[in-house]
Amino acid sequence: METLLHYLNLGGQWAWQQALLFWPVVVVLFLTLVILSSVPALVLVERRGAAWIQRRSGPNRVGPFGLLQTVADAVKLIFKEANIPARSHKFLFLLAPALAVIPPYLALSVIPLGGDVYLEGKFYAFQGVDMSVGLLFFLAISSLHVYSVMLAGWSSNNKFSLMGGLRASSQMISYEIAIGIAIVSLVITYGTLDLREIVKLQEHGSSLPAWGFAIQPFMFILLWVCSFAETNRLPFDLPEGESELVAGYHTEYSGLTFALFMMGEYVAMLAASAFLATLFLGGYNVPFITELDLRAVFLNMGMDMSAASMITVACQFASLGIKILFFMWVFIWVRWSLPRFRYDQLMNLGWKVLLPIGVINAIGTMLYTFFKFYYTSGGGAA
Amino acid sequence: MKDPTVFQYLLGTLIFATSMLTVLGKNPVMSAMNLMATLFLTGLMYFSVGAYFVGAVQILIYAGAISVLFIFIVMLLDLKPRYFQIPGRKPVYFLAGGISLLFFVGLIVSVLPALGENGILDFGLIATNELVSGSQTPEAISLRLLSKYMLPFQVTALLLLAAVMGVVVLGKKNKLPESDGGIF
Repeated sequence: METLLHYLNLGGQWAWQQALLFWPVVVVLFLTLVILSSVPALVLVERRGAAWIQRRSGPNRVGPFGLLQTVADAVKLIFKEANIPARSHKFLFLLAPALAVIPPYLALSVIPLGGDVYLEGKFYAFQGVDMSVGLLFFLAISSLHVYSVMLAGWSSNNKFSLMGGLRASSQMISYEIAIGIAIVSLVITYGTLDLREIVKLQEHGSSLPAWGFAIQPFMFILLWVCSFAETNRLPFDLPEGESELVAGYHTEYSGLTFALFMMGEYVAMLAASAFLATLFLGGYNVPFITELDLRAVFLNMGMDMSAASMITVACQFASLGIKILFFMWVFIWVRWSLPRFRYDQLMNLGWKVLLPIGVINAIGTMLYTFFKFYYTSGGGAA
Repeated sequence: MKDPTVFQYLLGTLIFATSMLTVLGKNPVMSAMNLMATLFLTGLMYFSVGAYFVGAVQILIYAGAISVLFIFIVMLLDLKPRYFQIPGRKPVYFLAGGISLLFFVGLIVSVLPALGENGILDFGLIATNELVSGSQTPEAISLRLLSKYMLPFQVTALLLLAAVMGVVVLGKKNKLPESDGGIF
């Protein structure tokens, strides 16, 4: 607090040292800007992509190539009345949309966005929160996402909404178990829960075989499938199955409250994509070059340490962004390609296919790690 | 050790308020939500004393999974709002109350060593050094779990096994004829 007061007393002079005390805030603000500006773009990509896949035109009237369509949608949603049904539980009805956005947004804050930025003689990690248990934190916070769907379903006082909420909660709980088992294999492989450590372990000259998808291919596919179920996207979007449930849990929502659900879905997809990219595609690593080598390239071009580290981090952030966009595109691609599962098929896939695969893989990983350790340490006791 | 911060006092107050609302609230879903809030805030309290692993596990398991199931069941039961009532005088209530009191006293006794000189509870000491200062890598945690804390670990496993078997027994009691389609 004293430093804050001191900083304010400087009378407009910009003091880097004081500002850097709030470095995490700077990163989180940056992240917020990126998320808020990418969600409308993603909505547009989804609609144009859907049209492209289905050989339609899609929205192409507002602005050049329909680029302003989401702006028009946003304006419409803001000025529409956010109707609250008469016999709903008002507090929970309004809490649910907020809970749809906040958990995935918080979860994104532990994702390492880039390497280290050199400022005023120190390195700063380009990450919202560098937490020793980032992996668990991500899972913990994103597991709270289910409350939005459940509470929206219950508080609307509508049978279709309730059915959607019930479907969502049992579906998300089931797939969380498969995710938990998949994570066990990963934690044994990497030996750490720190997401930044995990990204650094995948660096190894940044050759592609060092990336997670080559080390744990089955868990890559399993987690990828589960991320569809966790974000309630097709083919797992039973909670809002419009052919049976009108619109599922958000039947009664309109205006900005509906917009929050929409935004929450895209933020959750971003978070899931970032998580997959961090665990399996080397996170922010640029392929085939390590962070130090990349920085050395810029240093040799005559930049000072600070500028070189910033441009390196920018490259790494772009690399992470491309990986995230890849997963986002697959989310969209799958949505418009595959039909919806039946509910029993969904449950069978979760409990009878994905969970056993995860368990077998975890046991295999344990045995492999144990014997590797046993033989490399000269047969000594573990 | 440090004095509790304003943030920790705020968290403590919120935990107290939500846990009271869990018991006293009239709406079952709101009670379950308050329970979830209590568990989540407890996780935040662990974070605030530096026990990140326990905090994350607390939120993941209790706030993220177990209270989801509670709310799920409460929603299915379609319970009517009901005010808090003082239960009647059955012997079983006294037994349950007595056991709860015993646990509460045990909890207080286990916290007492953390009482600072000025009579303020030292939050840093409550979350014992094992949780805060020890290494929080999965390796270190599992080594501690499988050596020093082996007995509690195994007792918990036994308890869970008993619970699973209890559920199976309860579920088998009234065997319904095979139906071709349930709610899902």
